[in-house]
Amino acid sequence: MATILHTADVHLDRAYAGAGMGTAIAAARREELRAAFRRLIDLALELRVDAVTIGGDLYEHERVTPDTANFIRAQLERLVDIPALVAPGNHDPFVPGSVYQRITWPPNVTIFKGPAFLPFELAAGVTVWGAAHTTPDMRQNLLTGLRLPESGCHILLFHGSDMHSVPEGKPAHAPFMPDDVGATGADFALLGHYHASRLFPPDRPAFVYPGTPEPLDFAEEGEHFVARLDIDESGAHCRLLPFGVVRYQTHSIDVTGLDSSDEIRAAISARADSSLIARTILVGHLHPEVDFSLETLYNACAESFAYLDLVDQTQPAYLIDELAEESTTKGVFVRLMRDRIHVLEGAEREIVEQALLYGLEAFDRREIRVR
Amino acid sequence: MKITRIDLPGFGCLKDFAVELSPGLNVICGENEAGKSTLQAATAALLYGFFDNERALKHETERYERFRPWFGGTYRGSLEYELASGDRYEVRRDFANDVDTQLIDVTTGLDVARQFGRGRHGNVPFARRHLGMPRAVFQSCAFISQGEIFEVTHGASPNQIGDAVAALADSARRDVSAARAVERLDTALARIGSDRARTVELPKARARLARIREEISFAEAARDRASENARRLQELRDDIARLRSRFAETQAKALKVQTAAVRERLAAVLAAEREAAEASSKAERLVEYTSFPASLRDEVLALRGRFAELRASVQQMRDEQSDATDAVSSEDRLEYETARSGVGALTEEQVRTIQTAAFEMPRRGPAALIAAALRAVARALSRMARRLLRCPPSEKQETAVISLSTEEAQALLERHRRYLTLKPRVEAADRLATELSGKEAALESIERQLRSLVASPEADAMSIEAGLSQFEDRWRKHLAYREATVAAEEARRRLEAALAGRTREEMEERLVGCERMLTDTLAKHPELADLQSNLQFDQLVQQRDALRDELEQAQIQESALDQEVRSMLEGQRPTAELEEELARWKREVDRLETARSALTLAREQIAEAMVRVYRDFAPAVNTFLSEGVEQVTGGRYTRAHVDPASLRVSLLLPETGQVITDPPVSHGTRAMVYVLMRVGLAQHMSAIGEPVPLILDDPFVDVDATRLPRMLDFLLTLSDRMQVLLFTKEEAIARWFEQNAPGTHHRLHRLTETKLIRVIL
Repeated sequence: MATILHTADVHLDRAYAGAGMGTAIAAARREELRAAFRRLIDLALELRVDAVTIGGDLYEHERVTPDTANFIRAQLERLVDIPALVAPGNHDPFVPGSVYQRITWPPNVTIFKGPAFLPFELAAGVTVWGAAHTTPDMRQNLLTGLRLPESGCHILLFHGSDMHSVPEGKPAHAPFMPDDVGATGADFALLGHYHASRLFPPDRPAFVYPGTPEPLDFAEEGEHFVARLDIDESGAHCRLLPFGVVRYQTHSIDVTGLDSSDEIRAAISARADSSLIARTILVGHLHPEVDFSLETLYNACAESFAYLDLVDQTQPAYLIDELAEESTTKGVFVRLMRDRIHVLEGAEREIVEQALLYGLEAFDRREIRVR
Repeated sequence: MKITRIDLPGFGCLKDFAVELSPGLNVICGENEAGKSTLQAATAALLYGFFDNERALKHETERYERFRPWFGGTYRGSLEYELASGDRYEVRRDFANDVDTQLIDVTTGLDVARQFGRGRHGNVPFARRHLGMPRAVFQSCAFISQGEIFEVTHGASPNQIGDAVAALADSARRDVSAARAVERLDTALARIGSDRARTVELPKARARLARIREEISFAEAARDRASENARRLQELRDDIARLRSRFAETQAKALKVQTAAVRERLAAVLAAEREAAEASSKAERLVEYTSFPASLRDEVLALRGRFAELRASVQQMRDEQSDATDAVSSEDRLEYETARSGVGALTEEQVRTIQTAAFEMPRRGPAALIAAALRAVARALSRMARRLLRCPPSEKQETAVISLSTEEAQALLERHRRYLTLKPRVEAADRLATELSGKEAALESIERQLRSLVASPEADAMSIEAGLSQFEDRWRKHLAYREATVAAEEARRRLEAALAGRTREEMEERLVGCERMLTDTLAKHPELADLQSNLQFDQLVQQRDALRDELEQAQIQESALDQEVRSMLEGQRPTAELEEELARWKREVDRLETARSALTLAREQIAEAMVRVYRDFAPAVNTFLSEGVEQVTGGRYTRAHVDPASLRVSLLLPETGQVITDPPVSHGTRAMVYVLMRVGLAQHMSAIGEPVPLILDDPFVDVDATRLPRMLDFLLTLSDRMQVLLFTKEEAIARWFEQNAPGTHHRLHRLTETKLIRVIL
């Protein structure tokens, strides 16, 4: 009867400030998100679906540029007569001045504008009911009081938090309980919000979170999907289609036993992959003679990766305990610092730990490199 | 700690080597390459092993490899030592296999290595514990070599010697002092910069961060404004939508009214045209009555009225005359005439006379009354007769009557009475005839006048009625002509008014245009199809034009606002980039601030550590140095002083009592000062106060023969407090030992020359 291609949480124009990426690298990541959206439209055209649905967070309201707004419109316009249904989420709420409100959308695009579900007749007997977030922090259950007609196939499209999956300490947006979906009389729900894909319940899915089409940071490693929903006489059948091409990968390199920075560089480069967004965590005990500099290593290796995030978690090269036993000024210094470290936490502790290393470097005749 | 025995089955050039050491001064004498340095290295290796780190450092491995047995034998060794506490241990190491170190408690024979735990590379840190110092400090403080002394003291001032010792006190390295470390920290701090600096890293980063924040703040403000403007824009668009709706509604109403009006006017045009045509046609047909003398009609009508009245009157009179004629028969007229000529001549007097005569009858009653009546009649008859006779009554006549008999009188009276009866009738008939005649004449006159007025070729042959009828008909036609002319004129006037300066075709086109516009409007707004309005077109147009003005104004505002919103958004750098840059510079500032705090703290704490170390070290070394200086200089200097702030040395000249800072002493003296300070340092460096064996590698090569015995004497004295291992190739020292170090507390060891063979690898 109908086929729907569903995505959500594309997060166009997101900032990568948290990932520590430079502007140019972050711009490349943003371009990857655009490419993903472009490929989604390509896939919709290839599959000749009956509709493309977007479960919110297509872009980030605070950051979206006019250029991206035009990009979205142009991509959706490519669908020509394939309906594109958009249910704004907490990152792209339908608010005055929003892209959704500002842009003149092509006729095939339907943007849901309020928290009350409105129907879109997709095909004979198939109705998609969509709702929108109108603030960045909607806390009410959008499904409350919703009762859909008994006849026909009814699909829900919205952005919300399945309360069974709300991460600890995170606020829930448009929260709902899994049973709420069935209680409305809906046959299926196409959702957005969580970045990991999930069909629930697994044995007989009632809703789907497609997850982000591409990973957005190192917390989202692994395969990423879009959802395909086929509706026929027997009901709504959803499956996840592998989609993402961007790979985030975190790995550790144990520098213990490596005698030079070049050996560390070689170990990093051994994993070089120009399509890989890599986070390399250096662990282990650093050889005291290794002239270790993250910046130098980064400069030497970064070009071999799509992005390289080097994290230094190596243990100090110093035998702190032994040094602390010395009666030298150095030993007394180490003891003084160690005594402070033991009673401090957080940033203060970090400063003292750094101070210890700076002091030891100063004793070691090294030029002090500010960390 | 005192080393009591060393066994080396194979270690460098030493093979199956064993040495028993005394607790005091041990002079180990041998030529160059006899194994003195190897034995020193073996001592350190047995106490601390070769490796400090989890994985061997290059120099550690090199040293390890260097001391593989040159002449065979197992690469291992053992060392027995006794602590100040009296506890004795034997350390056994198998260097070849780098297996677990054994530490045997000599008293119990048990391996107690595990009590010390395991350090990196399997190290058992027993030496650190028992000596109270790690390898580096042990090697730096306990070992004093000729090369080191030469290096430090050659060309150096006592202050520089103090600096070198201070460096050792600071870091167990001669080349790294705390002061220099503080300088490095200062250099790094200077690179980061203070709050007041402008050209170094931190202020630059802060300035950059401030600029980014400012840019973000500006961008946020712009975005807020854009958002507000977008909200206003939306309101404006809603207003525009409402205005458009109202405009369309008013337009539709106006178009409907206009279309209806145009249609009506066109209908009026058509009607006027039709009416004008009809009227013109009618006028055309009646054009012959154009000159009809309509002005005569009133006169004709008046005459006709008079004619009709007169004719009616004539007719009536004729009828009356006829009646009168019928009422006055010819007999009556004759009778009347006769009576008039006779009886009619009777006067009233005569009649009364006659009546009197006729009625002289005795009886008076009713007869009398009748007689009176008769008399009256007679009189009347008489008057009538006179009038009939048209002659005045005469006495004669009256007299004649009076002479009548009664019968005659009665007859006369009867005739008179008859006369009186006929007289009005006859007179009326006559009068009617007269009047009729007059009227008939008048009638004829009027008829003549009428005929002259209604004269026409045909009229003369017609009756007056027909003539009048024809006149009337012609007048009506004239009237109709005039009416048609007026109607045509009126229709043309209405046509002109309806056309209002346009042509009918233009009006038709306009109607078509209006209808088309209306159709288009209704196609766009079908909800307006049934819309009606009570307002006039002009009012609607006024409303519509006002709405159009309002709409245009709103659209101009919308365009300006939209442009403003776009320009606000387009002029900005992407927020994501700003946030990323902000994060980057925030991290940078945080990094630098943290680094500055850390560097400052490190600097402060090193300074604090220096104070602590120097404060403790200086008094101890002072005493020691003073003793030694006096002894080794033979009283040239009696006291030495080490500055607790810098560990620099001052010497007291006993002759003058003057304290000389950085005194210009000889090289030998400098060497002695250095050795003394090193010895003092070695004793101070144990964290637990354990005396450290002093291992001297030919330190007195440059000491002249005068000072050498003093130094050796001092060492001998010193060996009461700590074990001294003096490695030397100088036979003079061996001889001195044999002469000056008696007893079992001190021992002389000679390394055999067979150890001089060296394998070149």
